[in-house]
Parts: sequence; C-alpha cells; structure tokens
Amino acid sequence: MKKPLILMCVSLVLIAALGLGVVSAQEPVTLVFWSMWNETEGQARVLQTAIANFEAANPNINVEAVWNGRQNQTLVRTALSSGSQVIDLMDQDADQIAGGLMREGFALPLNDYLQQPAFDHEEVLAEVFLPSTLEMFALEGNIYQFPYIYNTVQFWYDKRIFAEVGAAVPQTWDDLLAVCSTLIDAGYAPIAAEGNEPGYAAFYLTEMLARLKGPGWLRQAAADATGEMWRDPAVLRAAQMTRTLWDNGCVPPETIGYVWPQGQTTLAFGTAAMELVGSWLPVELQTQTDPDFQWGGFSFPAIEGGVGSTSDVYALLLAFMINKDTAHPDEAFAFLRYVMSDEIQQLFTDESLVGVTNKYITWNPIIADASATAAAATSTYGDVDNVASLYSEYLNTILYPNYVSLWQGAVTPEAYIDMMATQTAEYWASHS
Amino acid sequence: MRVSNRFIALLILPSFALYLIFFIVPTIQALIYSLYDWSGFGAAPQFIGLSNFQELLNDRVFWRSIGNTVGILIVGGIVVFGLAFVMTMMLSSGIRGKKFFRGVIFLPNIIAVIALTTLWGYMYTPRTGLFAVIFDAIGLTDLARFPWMGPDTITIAMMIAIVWIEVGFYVVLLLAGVDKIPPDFYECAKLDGASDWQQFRHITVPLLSDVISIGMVLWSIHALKFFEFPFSFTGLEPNPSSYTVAVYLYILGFGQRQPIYRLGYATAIGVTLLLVVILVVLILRRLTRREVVQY
Amino acid sequence: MTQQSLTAGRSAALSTRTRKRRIQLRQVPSYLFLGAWSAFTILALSWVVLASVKTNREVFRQPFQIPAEPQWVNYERVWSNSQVGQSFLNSLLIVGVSVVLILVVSAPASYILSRARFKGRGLLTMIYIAGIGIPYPLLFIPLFALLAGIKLINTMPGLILIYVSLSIPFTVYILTGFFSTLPQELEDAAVIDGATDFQVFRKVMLPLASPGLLTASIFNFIGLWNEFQLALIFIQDPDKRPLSLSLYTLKNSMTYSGDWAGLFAGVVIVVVPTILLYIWLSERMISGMTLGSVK
Repeated sequence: MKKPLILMCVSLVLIAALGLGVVSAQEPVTLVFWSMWNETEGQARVLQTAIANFEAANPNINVEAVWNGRQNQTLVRTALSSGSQVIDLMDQDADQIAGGLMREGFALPLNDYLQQPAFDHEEVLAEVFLPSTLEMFALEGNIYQFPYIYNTVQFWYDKRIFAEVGAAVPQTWDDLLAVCSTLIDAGYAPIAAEGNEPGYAAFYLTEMLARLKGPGWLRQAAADATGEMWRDPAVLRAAQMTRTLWDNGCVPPETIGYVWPQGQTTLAFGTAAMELVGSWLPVELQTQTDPDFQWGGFSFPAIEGGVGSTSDVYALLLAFMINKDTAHPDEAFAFLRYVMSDEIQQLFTDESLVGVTNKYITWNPIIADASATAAAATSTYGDVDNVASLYSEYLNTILYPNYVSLWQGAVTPEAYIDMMATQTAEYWASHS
Repeated sequence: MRVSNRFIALLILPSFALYLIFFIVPTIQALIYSLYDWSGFGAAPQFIGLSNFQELLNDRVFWRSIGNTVGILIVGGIVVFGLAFVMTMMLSSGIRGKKFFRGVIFLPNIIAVIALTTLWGYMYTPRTGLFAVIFDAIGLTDLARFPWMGPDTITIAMMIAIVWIEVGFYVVLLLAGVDKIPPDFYECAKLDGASDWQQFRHITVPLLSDVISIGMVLWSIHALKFFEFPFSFTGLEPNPSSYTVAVYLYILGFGQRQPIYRLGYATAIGVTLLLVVILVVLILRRLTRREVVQY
Repeated sequence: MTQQSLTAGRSAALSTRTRKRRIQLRQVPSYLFLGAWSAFTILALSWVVLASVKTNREVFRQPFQIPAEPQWVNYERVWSNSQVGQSFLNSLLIVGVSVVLILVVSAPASYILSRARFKGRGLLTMIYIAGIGIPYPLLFIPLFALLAGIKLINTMPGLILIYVSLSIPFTVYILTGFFSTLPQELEDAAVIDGATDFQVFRKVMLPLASPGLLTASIFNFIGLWNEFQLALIFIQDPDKRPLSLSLYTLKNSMTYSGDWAGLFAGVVIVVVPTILLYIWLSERMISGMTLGSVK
C-alpha cells in the first residue's frame, strides 16, 4: 500500500542525487529486519506501525521486515552462516541471543550508540532503560543487545477466585500451600500447569533454588564439573517441594496429560486459580477469558531458611541485535532508538499487553503487578538462572529431561538428586 | 538389448549426476563430518576421531530417541501390518462400498501432518477432547479423564495416531496384491473345503509374499526417519521424551529456540541411523527370503 | 500384459457377481469395523471444520455444539494475515516442477538399467536402489553446506533440486520394475524398422510405460506435497514457503496469540483443496499407485 509512495520518494532522491552528482547521506538504504514475531501477533503489528512511522520520518530508509516466528534466531543464523542473505537486525529472547548469535560473535557492540540522546527525553538513551536490563547479558563491558520488551515470571492468578475463597496473596511457601488447600476445599484446581513443557516446569526449580540459595547458585551447580553441588540439601528440598505440589493436589493429577496450552486454558475456564508463568499469559488467554476476568500477579513466595528474596526477579527480556557486518549500522540503530521512544513503547503495552523496558512507561493495567515486580527488583536473572544462555545444550539434554521426570513423578526426589549429580559430572567429562 | 555406450551414458548421466552430487557425495561427507567437532557452519571443524560416537554411547536422550524410533518401527509395524491385513481381508470379502472404505482409510495419507497433529492433540485433551466426550457419553468417566499425553502413554498416544495415518497406505498395497490373485484359486480351495483361515494362510499370504516384503522394507525406511509427527505433536517445542532420532538430530544440528549447534555430533547420529537402517534391511531380507511364488 | 488384463477381467467379473450378493451374516463384523473406522475419520475431520467457525471461547467450552453464530470472520482473519494463498502457489510450483523433472531424469535411466545389456549394470542398479535406504536426516548437514556453497539455500530452485535428487532412487526402483515387464518383441520390431536407439525409447517404450510414469508421479506428488522436514531446513524466507511449512508457521502464530479457531480455519483452508483433489482423483491415484508397486 505504501510501497508506491516509498518508491516515488526513493526515485526522487535518486534523481536528485544523480542530478547534483553528489552521493549524499540521503542515499536510499534498505534495512532487513528478521523478527521473532508472526505477522498476526500484536507485537508484530506494533512493530509495523513503528516501521511505517520511521520510514515516513526518514524517507531514504526502507525497513523490510520478515516475520519468522520463534525459530527466528535459528533461521537468521542459518542464513548468515550460509551467506545467502543480508540481515541487518533481528530480535529474539535475550537469553537465546546471548547463548547463540551473540556468543558466536555475530553482534555489533552498542555502547557508543547508547550514549546518543534519547528519542524524546533529555538524557542519554542508556538512561531510559529500566535498571539492569541493558547490562543483563553484557559481555566484558560490551552491550550487544537492545532489550525492548520485559516479561516477568511470577504467579498469575484469577483475582475473583482468590476473593471468593478469601485467600490472600501468599508471602511464604507455607502460605502458598495453605491457599492451595483453601482452594481445593472450595472446589477449584489451585495451580494450572502443563504436563510436559520442560521450560514451564523448570520455572519451579529455578524459583525454588533462587529463593533457597539466592540467584546465581543454580548456574554454578549446572557448571559444576564434579556434579557434587547437586547433592546440596537445598536441591533435595526443592525436589521434595516439587512433589509436594502434586501430592497435595495443588497441581491436579490430570495435569500430567496436559500439553501446552491445555493446562493454561483451565485458568481461562475458571476451573484453576493460578499459574507460575511469564507475564505473556494474559495476552495468550485474552480471547478465551471472560470479559470481566481480573488478572493479578505475585512473586514466587519466600522459603523459610532461604537466602533469596522475593525482590529477586526472574526476567525474560526480548531484545534486538544488530548484525556486526551490517552496511548500515547508523540507520539500524536509528530505528532501534525510535522503538525505544515513549510513543512506541506505550503502544507495545497498550496494544499487545506486554511489559516494556522504557522506565517512563506505565504498563498495561492487565499486567500492573508485573510492572510493580519489575520496578521493585533488587536483582534480575535470566532464563533458568541464566543456564539457558550459558549452557543451553546441558539444559536441553540434562536439566530439562530430568526435572520433567521429577515433575511427572517418574522418579523420586532422592533418585533425582543422584541423576543430576552423576549426569552433570558425566556431561562435563565429555564436554571439557 | 544392445545399444551404444554413448546412448547408455546419455540416458544415465542426468539422473546419475544429480544423484551423485546431491545424494552420494553428501552421504560420504556425512561419514567424514561425523568424525569432527563442528560448532556451526561458520566455524572450522576439528578432527576428533570416534569421540562423537563415544559420547553417543552415554547420551541418554539419544538412547531414548533410539527407543522411540525402534518402538515405532517394530510395535507400530506389527500393528500397522496386522490391521492392514485384517482390513484387506474385510475389503476383499466381497462387501459393498469397498472403494468408499478404501478411500476413507487412505485419506489421512494425503493430509498435511501438521493438520493431523493439531487434530490429534485436541482429541486427546482430558475433559474437553473428542475421546473424553465420547467416553463421558458412554459413562466411562475415568477414561474420560485419562491423561493420554502423560509420560507413560504419550508414545502410545502418538503410535495410535501414526497407525491411523499410515495403515491406509499398506491396505491399498495389500489390496492391490489380493486383487491380482486369480479368483479360481479360492474357488478351488472352497471346493476342497478349505476354511477362510486356511485360504488366507495357504493362498493369500504366500502369493502376497512379494508385496509384503516390499511393504515391510518401505515401512522400515519410513519409520526410521520419522520426523514430522513427533516434531509438531507436543506443545511449544518437541518434547525430549517423544524425540525420534531424526528430531534429536535436527535439534542438535539446527537448534529450535535453544541455540545448540553441534553439526559433527548431529551427523554422527545420522550415521548411527544409517547403520540401523542397514541392519534392519538385512534382517528383513533374511526373514522374507523364501521362494517367490509365481502364478 | 495379456495375463494382467486377463486377471483384471476376471476380477471385474467376480466383483459384479459379488455386488449382486446380499449382505451376508459373516460380513457383519467387517461392516461394523470398517464403518466405525470410516465414521471416526470423517467425524474427526468434520470436527475441525466445526471448530473453525466458532469463537475461541466456544472451541474450548462447547467443543461439540453447533456454534451460536458461525464465525466466518475466522477465515478472513487467517487469509489476510497469513500467506496461505502464496504458499499454495509455491507448493504447486515446487511440487509440479519437481515431479516433472524427476520423471525426465529417472525414466531414461530406468529404461537403460532395465533393458540395456552392458557391463556393471547390476552394480549400477544396486547403487541407485541403495539410495532408498539412506535416511534423509543423515544428509541435512552436508546438503545444507553444499547448497550454501552454491548459493541455493533459501531458494525454490534449491529445494526443487534437493527434491528431485532425493526422489531418484525410489522412482528408478518403480520404473525399472515397469520397463522390465514390457515385451521384447515391440522393441525388436522397431529396431528392424530402422528406428534409432533414442526413437525406440522415446516413441515405443516410453508410451508403453506410461502407467508406470503415472504411478511414479503420483507417489512423488503425494510425498512432496506434504513434505516438511527438508523444506524446514532449506527454506527460511516466508515468501518461499510451501504449504506444509506455512501451516506449521500458522500453527505457531495462532497458538501464541491463543487464536485456536483461527488455526482450525487455517487447517481447513490448507486441507480442503487437497481433499477435494483427492475425492476427484482417488480412484485413479490408488489404482495408479498399485499398478507399479505390485508387479
């Protein structure tokens, strides 16, 4: 629709440049952007708006977006390493970029660019980001990622059900178990969960160990070549707590047969009351919940004797990355700078119901509690306490499958400890 | 027939060139790559001998994927062929609507697998799925709540769907064979007082042995590279407990969302798969080697 | 040939006889079983159609009821938001060109392998046929590297090249079977009439083998129309996706936004043309399929 207009602009510029015999900064530039969104998703529509506005303001720049969906990084990497495509920028989960393209040296450092003034504020751009978002995956002082969406992992709950049974938001693990039994007595399934989604199940392990041993411990255990850290009593306790949820009926027994998204739809049905998951849940369920559904969120509760705090936040950022070989780094960054503007960031939270990284933006009321959690964060950690970005093969071949076995009750907590200790040692013996 | 060598070369060459470049050479390359540690298409491969294969021996996910694949091959194979035989006998017993039934049984073969996994995922849903509602309706409430896609039964659940899809192909194959058996054979047998089972055992099976052995080889090769169904059956990402060898190889070589890129190791998995294929084909040839009955 | 038509005639005579028969008591189990199987298949597929005109709330809460008001808007949404139309054309192009090329390169080779006398024929045939046993996953990585080297990754010609090359072994297997059943006399007669080697092939043998060519093209068409794993690896650009891959993308995008009714509408859009084509051609397809595979 807008193509003819752009073409006209481009050709005008071309004619002008030729006529004057000058190759100026107004030379037409095409930025190729491969995106993790599918065309139908709200986030993609906001990005389309951003692209249209950006192109209108910069007639010499044309942003060509390719909507790849969640396998984006794999596709980008494949395309870049085969040399079959020019790709200037891409976006994906920050954890995955950190473990993938960024670690392999495909990313452009952004430190200098981030010292440019913000799009619509008096300060430098870096200052506009919420604390500890830009630095989350910095490598030796270099910032390679440009986070623009902020998801928190926490319990999401149906406020009406909690009000109906008179349950308060649990502060401690014991509170949580008490709320569970209240809900069971009232005929509800307390916790919605998926039976075999490793990433979702491992939210529990991550949060339990973060509360018990503090953030950063799990990633050390994952990297422990002796595997002995897995024999720490805290791991056994976390494993037992996992089974307790199932044994008490907090997680109803039929959950074992739920394949994503069957578990989470029970929350939309009003049969289940809460789920430990990312702040994207309200978006995914918005066409299924009743119009008057009220979302609430609370942090994973504190565990008695644990050193972690409820203000340690499990944050899943989504970020842009600029290809270090791009011919147009300035133009690519100019686009990112615009995406970080209040206007676009506001649009993201209004239209696609997600949290954003711009500190001036109030998040959509539907995820107000995630906003509060993010604002109160004293520390943040990435997926599976950063194991996802640091040791993704270990995560997929050892940590996930074993935790899913425990989650589904195929092994006892004691057996789980043994499996983790021996398999971690074996893994590092063959991957040194 | 005698023809000039030039003519032979001319007719063979186009296909042989393609086959050589895009099939034979890559196969040989795969054998070589499997001896390397290679972390990505941009990176330089490093020779590590048989280390990849050594690592495979201790890789639990790999063994599980082998288990699933061989399970599909053997259990799935027995069920598919058993059912295909039963259906073939039924269809060739002179019933009405033979072509209709045959058409419907074959139908799933032409539907995109992703559509079928979507359908089956929903049929298996506890409480609201097709099976749950059917069982509820006939009063089997326990079965209605049964977690079909739970860890103990997910492989079975997958197998049921696979059988439903695949059986039609083998029905068509066997039926074509049966249709070509001269009807006199059966009439004679009937005159001699042979029972249905005796006719099946002594006429149908021996005369179909050719078709059966072709069918079994086709099934084996097909089953051993099974990819689409497990890849798209379970939720957000393929689930490690239902990986087949082909899925595991893909995950390690190309990554899904997780950035794992182990090209050498993934290729070693492919080489192992090739060995399994060779083994299975050898076993099948032994099993089916008997005199071919001519008629 | 003559024997074939003879038996065909006999079985036709038999089936007219059976058609007149009443339903026999001993056939009742067959009707029940085949009827239930077909009913299940038809029911399951209609359920998808039903779900595609519901609201998302209805899909989950009243999975079996008729929707209060048909939501045709689901179809509009999917059609305008995805590239299903484009990928339908892509699939037609990719599969159409591939099938033609497969025949163009495989038929001459098969002719030579089955009818020419020359040294090493047996070995060459074996090399061709051996390809059937090589599992595709083994080739993922070497082929990717190869295609990247010649800049054909992420292009339709690249995918077509792969499809053609990998289909050669099975096609040659089918076609050699066919050519070898053709009578020697016609060939000799043509040679006596002064036809060149090529004319014998082109004007005499190829037309005789046309049922075999049809069989081979049907096999390849069905296989490639739903092919998924190679497309997944070799195509990245959404504009170039074939239908199977596009449906996978659609599934991902619709589930992430919780739009299940939209997903089912997409499934219907993708599957219905294929099913219609199948209903129209199934008789020819199935008989063509079995002609070649069962000699």
